[in-house]
Amino acid sequence: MWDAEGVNLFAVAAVGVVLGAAASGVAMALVEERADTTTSTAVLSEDMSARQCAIAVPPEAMQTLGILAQPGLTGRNECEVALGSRDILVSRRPLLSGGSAADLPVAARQAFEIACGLLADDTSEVERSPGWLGRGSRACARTPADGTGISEVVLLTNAHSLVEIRVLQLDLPDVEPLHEGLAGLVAAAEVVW
Amino acid sequence: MRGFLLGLLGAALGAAAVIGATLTFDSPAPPAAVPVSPTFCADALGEVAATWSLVIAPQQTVRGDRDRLTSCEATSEAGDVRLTLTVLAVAGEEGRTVGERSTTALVAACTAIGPAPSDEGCSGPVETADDVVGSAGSFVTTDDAAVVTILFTAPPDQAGATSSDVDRLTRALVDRSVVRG
Repeated sequence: MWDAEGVNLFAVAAVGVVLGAAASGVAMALVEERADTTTSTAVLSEDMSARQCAIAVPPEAMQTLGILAQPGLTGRNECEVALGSRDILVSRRPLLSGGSAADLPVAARQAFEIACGLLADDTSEVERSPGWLGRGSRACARTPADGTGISEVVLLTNAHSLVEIRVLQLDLPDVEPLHEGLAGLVAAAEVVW
Repeated sequence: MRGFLLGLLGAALGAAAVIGATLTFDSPAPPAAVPVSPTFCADALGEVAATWSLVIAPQQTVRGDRDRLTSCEATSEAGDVRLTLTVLAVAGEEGRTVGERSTTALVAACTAIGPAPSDEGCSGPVETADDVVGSAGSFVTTDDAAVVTILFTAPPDQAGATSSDVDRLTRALVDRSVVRG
């Protein structure tokens, strides 16, 4: 029923099926592994760079806040501008590591809600999405009523990064320049992160 | 020549079969987290809000690929008393069970709040440099599928009373059936 040539051709076809299946199996495994790596690392927080630090604290905001100095990295993944006892600190908070990048918005919002829920003080005003930060910013802020003391803004950027901004200022005449300076820092953070 | 062509055809058939099988059977849609009731915030916070004269803000939900976050907030008219409640419903993924993922989320929440987590979760006061200004806690529901975080802050002279309400909410919400929609 089968001659020798027919058997040979069948064997060649069978070997082809096996080789093709093996090659495509290896290729699919490599593709999946690469995809997993991409999604996992996407959720990890990266360290702040010197360039990001320089952009995150624009000169206009420093001038408005009366703290004009060279921004620098602190070594604790923070960007700092210090002038005497006055201080600006900008940091990007770490989020959950691992998991899928598609769940990053959920992890970021969770961290944002907790950070905002913890913003409390006996002498400062705590606001959600205050009007002085401008429209479109998802943020909460704690600012001293007279503009003097520690202010803190927690910002959830459009790219799902959680940024914390702290300002210690003791010399401002009222709260307006403080709000203006913080709004400048929030706008810069939206650009960087 | 005929043998070569047959070999090529065989290889193509083998590759198509493997790729087709991989795409069909190896990539199931990711399981989504269990949803939360649309009236969850009003139901969960109603009693405490009434006691403290707080106004409950509309319930908000953020959906990810599989996880979803429901957040509730109730504040006093003056804004000095604030109750925040979040429910992070997680789903399992390849290589990680729901329990492992919720434990990771619990550690993150407890790290943000302050106290070190135990198996049951964490709870403790919210403090500024000078005062206690509230209470906070986080825990995993009994079915391991959600991490609930409660943050309750108030002026220092009222902050002591927040801890009993955080405890009461924790006891009420740890059973997942209360949270589930």
